[in-house]
Amino acid sequence: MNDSQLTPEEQTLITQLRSVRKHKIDPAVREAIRAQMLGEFRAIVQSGQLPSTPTTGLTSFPFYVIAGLVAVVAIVIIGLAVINRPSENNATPTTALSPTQQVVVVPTSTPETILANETPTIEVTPTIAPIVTTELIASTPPMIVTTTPEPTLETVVVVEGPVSEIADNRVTIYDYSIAVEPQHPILNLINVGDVVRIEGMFDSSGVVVASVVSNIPSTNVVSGGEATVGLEGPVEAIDGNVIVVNSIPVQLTPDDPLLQTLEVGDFVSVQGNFQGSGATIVLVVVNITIVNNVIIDDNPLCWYHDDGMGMGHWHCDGMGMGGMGMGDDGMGGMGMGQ
Amino acid sequence: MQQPPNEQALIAQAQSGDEEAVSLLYERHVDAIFEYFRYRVDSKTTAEDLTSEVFLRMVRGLGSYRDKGLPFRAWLYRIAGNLVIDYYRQHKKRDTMALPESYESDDTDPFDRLAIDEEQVRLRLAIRTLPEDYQDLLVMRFVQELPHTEIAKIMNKSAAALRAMQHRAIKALGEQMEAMSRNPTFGQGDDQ
Repeated sequence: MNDSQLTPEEQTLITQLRSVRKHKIDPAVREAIRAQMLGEFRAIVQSGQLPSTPTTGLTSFPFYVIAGLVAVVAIVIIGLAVINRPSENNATPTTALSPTQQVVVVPTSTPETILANETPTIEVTPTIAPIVTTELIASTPPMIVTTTPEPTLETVVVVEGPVSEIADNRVTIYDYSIAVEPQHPILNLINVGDVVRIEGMFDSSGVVVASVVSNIPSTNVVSGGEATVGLEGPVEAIDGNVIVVNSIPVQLTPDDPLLQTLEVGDFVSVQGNFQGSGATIVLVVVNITIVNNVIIDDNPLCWYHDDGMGMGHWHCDGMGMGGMGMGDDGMGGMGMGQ
Repeated sequence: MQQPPNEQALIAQAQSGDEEAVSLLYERHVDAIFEYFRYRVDSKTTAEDLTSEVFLRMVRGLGSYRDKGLPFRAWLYRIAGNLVIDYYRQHKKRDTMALPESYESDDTDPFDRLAIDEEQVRLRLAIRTLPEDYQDLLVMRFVQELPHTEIAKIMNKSAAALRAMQHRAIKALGEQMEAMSRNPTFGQGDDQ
């Protein structure tokens, strides 16, 4: 979309936005923040939390020193874990877990009413199976979970809730930090505030490593099923049996009857599994349904607005495929879309 | 005249413990981050506090920061966006219709106050009535003039989704401005 496709009022608005007076932070405040920040930085440097300069520092550093440090840290961690073991008379859920056991973390109220100091309910549903020595210690978030490493242990942790932070490949939900595979395409889809469902397992350091991530809380893509990823969004392109949803290539079986009726702009719900790696990754469909296929005047830029409580409605803008585009140089004003 | 160091070099220096590099990174981005918060929260004081928090988190996260081909500021904006969400989660009573305190009393410089014309105030208020995503997009795109692709990355949106959202955001802003002009008392309520 270019300027000519905007109403004069909209063009005026953009001009106004661009001409608003820019605020600069008060000089005294600026310096105060700088001082505080640098103080923090010095503390971090002194504690050795910053990575050392690449190559030069590491190559000259004796390996046995690193090994020694790692050993000391491991001993300290083990010691702390022993000290922090729950006593007999506290309310901490302690149970023996089976290899197929699930730990489900769900909010006790709606996401909007969760307070920082609230403790999410932890449901432990044991099944009859060989006992392994694992203890779960629940506390106020962040949850501390200590496990006695057990090669056959497959404790599944399910966390559902709004994403409060995404930093690199770490997704935080209710203060639970969950590691997602760094190249996992779902990281490009979920936003802070989205309600997601993540299933994972504890790694040896007690961090939950996600194995199933879904941005559709109502979709059952539970582990043990066939699908590990859920997506919802309008179909952006169709090329043979590969469609694009939320910029992710989604591969249907070539004889999928849906391909006969599916059109760009249809809003679909997809469950599947990612295959491939890097730029060639595709979501191989296990199940796909058209949620709604409203297309007005061949306009593909329709979208579904969720009003909550299971209600929603469709919008369609009178835009062509060029859409509302901006030059990527950042200063080009209204230009053609990609 | 000596060229300022490029950002990647600065980040590498900062990650190796160079305080001066951290200070330069701060200097490069502090005004933009503060400006972002000025649109997103009620008062100047809150904007200052949140700006401070962004840079504290920056130094805490420097060790794990990895260059993914995006400008450093994209990371800072993401931190800032998270802080805004946290802020409003903790301050649930949010009266977006009210005239922010900052526009009445925070700008103590009389020349500054004169410079804020009524239309700009209305514009800011109108922006703050919009959904969070729209606010982020309008401020980053049109006030801070960030590139389209960068905003898409910051907001985790596809280019197509961002284009559609931008169109809707401008439309919504126009409607809001119109509503405000029809009701002159809009935006004159008590604040906080």
